[in-house]
Amino acid sequence: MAAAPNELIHQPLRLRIMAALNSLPPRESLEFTRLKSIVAATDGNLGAHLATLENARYVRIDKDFLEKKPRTRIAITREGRQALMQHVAYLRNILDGVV
Amino acid sequence: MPLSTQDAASALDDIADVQHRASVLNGYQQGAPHFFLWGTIWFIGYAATDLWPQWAWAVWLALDVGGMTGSFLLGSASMSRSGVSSAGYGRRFSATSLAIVALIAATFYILAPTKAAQFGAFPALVIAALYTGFGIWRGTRWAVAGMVLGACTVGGYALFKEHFNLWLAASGAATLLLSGAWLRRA
Repeated sequence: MAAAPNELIHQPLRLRIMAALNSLPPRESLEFTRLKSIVAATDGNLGAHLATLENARYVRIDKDFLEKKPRTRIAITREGRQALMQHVAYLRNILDGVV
Repeated sequence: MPLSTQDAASALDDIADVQHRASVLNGYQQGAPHFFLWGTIWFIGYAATDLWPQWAWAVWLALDVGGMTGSFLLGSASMSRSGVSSAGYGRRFSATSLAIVALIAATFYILAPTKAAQFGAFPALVIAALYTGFGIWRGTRWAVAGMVLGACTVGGYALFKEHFNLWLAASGAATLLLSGAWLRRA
């Protein structure tokens, strides 16, 4: 059980990004535009927070071209899922009065 | 810095909200191809019913079997792509389809229609009610599609009785195809 919050994940937009990606089945990714619509963020804000999460190896970002248009897809990594689960467990423990 | 219970509750609410939004949008993406398929079937079926009413049962039987097979294949492919186990999917899909067909057949048996337009209107209303009910739980766009379909059916029944099936072919198919495009853009 985590004894402290994961400060990197707990930032509100990063928490929403991780929750959205975590709802995907394993090996699935979300396109940047769809993720932006789910978490209700601007392009710049989302890009900056994704870079932070990628540096922490919580997400993987793949860029390619589809029908000559650039496409960015984001997936959560195994480390990212574990970190989110631990953070959620920590939050639940606070509500249960365990922490 | 430790978090307060309010912070923790707010963060968990945020997670639940995002997961709900992601699930709704995913449902829209999975639903869109079915709307395109059934919009096409709807148009062919109701147009053929208006033009060749004597062949309506045979046309609808062929279209419904084809549509259900198509929907089953689309659903299986979608589950396979997302890595979700599809065990039991065929059984549940067939049972749901049979329940809808049985409801329509039983209603026709008990409340036998007296006008040709009633044969076309009732299945359309059942589909409209299913989309609306599903949408109340799983996303507004489904419900809007169902309500527009229902309004077109009732409005057409009241205003265009002579060519009701042709009206339903055009308005119902347009509603389903446009709804499919709307779901895909979500």
